[in-house]
Amino acid sequence: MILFEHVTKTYNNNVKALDDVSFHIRKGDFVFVVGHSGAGKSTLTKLILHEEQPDTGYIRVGDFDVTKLSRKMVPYLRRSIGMVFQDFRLLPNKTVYENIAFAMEVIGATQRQIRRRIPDVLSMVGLTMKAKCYPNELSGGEQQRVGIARALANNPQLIVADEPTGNLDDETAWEIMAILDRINKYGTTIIMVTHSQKIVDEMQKRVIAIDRGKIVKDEQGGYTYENQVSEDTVFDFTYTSQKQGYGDILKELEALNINIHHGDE
Amino acid sequence: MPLRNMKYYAGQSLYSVWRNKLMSLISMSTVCFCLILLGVAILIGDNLQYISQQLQAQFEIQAFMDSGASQAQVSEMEKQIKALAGVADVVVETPEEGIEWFKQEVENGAEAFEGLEGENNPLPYCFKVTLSDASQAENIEKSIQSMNQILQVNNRRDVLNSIVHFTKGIRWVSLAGMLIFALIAVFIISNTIKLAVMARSREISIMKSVGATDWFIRWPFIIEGAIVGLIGAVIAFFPVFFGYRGIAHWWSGLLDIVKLVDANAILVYLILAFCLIGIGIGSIGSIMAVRKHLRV
Ligand SMILES: Nc1ncnc2c1ncn2[C@@H]1O[C@H](COP(=O)(O)OP(=O)(O)OP(=O)(O)O)[C@@H](O)[C@H]1O
Ligand SMILES: [Mg+2]
Repeated sequence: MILFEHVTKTYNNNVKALDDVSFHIRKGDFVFVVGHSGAGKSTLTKLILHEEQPDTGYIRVGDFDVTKLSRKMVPYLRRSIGMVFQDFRLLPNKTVYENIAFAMEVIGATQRQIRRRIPDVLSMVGLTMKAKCYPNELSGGEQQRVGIARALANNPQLIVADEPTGNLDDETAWEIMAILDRINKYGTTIIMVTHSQKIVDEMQKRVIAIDRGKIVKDEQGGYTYENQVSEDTVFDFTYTSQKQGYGDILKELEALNINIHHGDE
Repeated sequence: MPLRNMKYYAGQSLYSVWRNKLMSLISMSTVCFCLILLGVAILIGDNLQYISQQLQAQFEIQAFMDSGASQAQVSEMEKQIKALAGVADVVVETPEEGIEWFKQEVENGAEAFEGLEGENNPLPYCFKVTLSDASQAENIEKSIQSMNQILQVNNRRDVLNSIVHFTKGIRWVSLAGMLIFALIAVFIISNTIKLAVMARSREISIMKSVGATDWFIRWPFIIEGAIVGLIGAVIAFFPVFFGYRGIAHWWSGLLDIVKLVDANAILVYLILAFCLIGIGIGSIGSIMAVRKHLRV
């Protein structure tokens, strides 16, 4: 479903946001992306959506060769992906129903398709009764459920959620996780960026951990105590390696990667 | 584009014009002002051309035959001149008619030119050539000059030339003025659309993320600019047209020899020109804004 091969992304201020990142996500997977602030998680989602382009490497999403995608094809890539945002991004002057209808209208759905689809997605997120409400009449959790319903409206094969629970309290966050889990059980691939260690530990899904643009962990399960230590180690050695120079950082990072794998085996 | 998209674009555009009332109004006023100037320029230009055509028809070149020319030679010459391109008409004035003219028009002419009739008449035959195309005046004059038995050619080309120059000058000045205002209008509309784009940045980001095509996102803004331009044009049309119709009416009661262009004859041409230019200015402004501020 998603394939990254040796992807490197440098922003024009010379920040290396992703550095030689490779992974493969299969259809139907549920994957968490974790890491410190500024690690490159959002950059990863932007590359999937072709909002940013990599310097080197190869990216495939579904049937789209994202690295060679023409401008004209970008909208069609995005139609195959449902985006869920931390700040919900609902239109305040439209009702729940209209917000979802908007996402369908702007890619040319007919009124008939819209009327048929919206009740389905609203029931998936348990908001059938709130169709006529405006966003400011909803709780944060409910607003995010509208966001998810909108992401589902065009029937995407993949949902990309960048910190969807970032603005929500724990209890509400679990509601959202339950919904995403259910959607995933129906066969939709889900990539979710999160800072919440609790969620990651509880859900026991595949976790891709990024630090300073590199994948430092990619395995099934949660944040274990061991991994916490290794992240601290990364921090420490980076501090010391400021004296050693750039090449050494890379070497040590690689060494660390191997160590983590060894530790898990 | 599908019909339901057209409906969507039009709805979005009109809503946005309404939401940006103040900027829309300013843009419309600039377009309106620009087109009023253009209208004045067009009308002055058209009328000067029309009037100079009328005057040109009244200008004439005078060509005098050698004194000894016979009646047959005169009529042969008349035919030759008539055949020249740009000649409307040739009137032959006999020496007798010439003397009569002098007698009547010059003070004490009756006594001064007494006894110069018939055998004693010193005047030659004279051709009075009127032109259908004033720009040919020089060529015609040269052609006549080069014919046999032509004594002298007189003309009023100096007056003609200054009128042609004056007309051209006025046209250039009004055209330049209109161009400057068109640029200002484009600039202001471009800013209006920029505001509209910013007001809808959230919608645009959602549209992009769900996979709306670039043109689907752009069209409403371009149509918005075009609508603003069109409304400005329609508003400009009324004072220009009815103002001119009033002036033309007043003029016709004043002067009969020289007429102004008939207002009703230019109605359709004026409406079309205004609407096209209004829409053009609006669309150019919004396309510029969309290109600069709508990264899709
Ligand atoms: N548009 C940009 N231009 C320049 N640098 C950028 C841009 N976007 C991100 N960066 C830089 O790239 C690095 C990775 O950013 P990214 O947004 O991917 O981090 P993140 O893991 O999503 O962080 P957070 O958890 O805070 O959202 C950071 O150092 C950031 O400053
Ligand atoms: Mg981020």
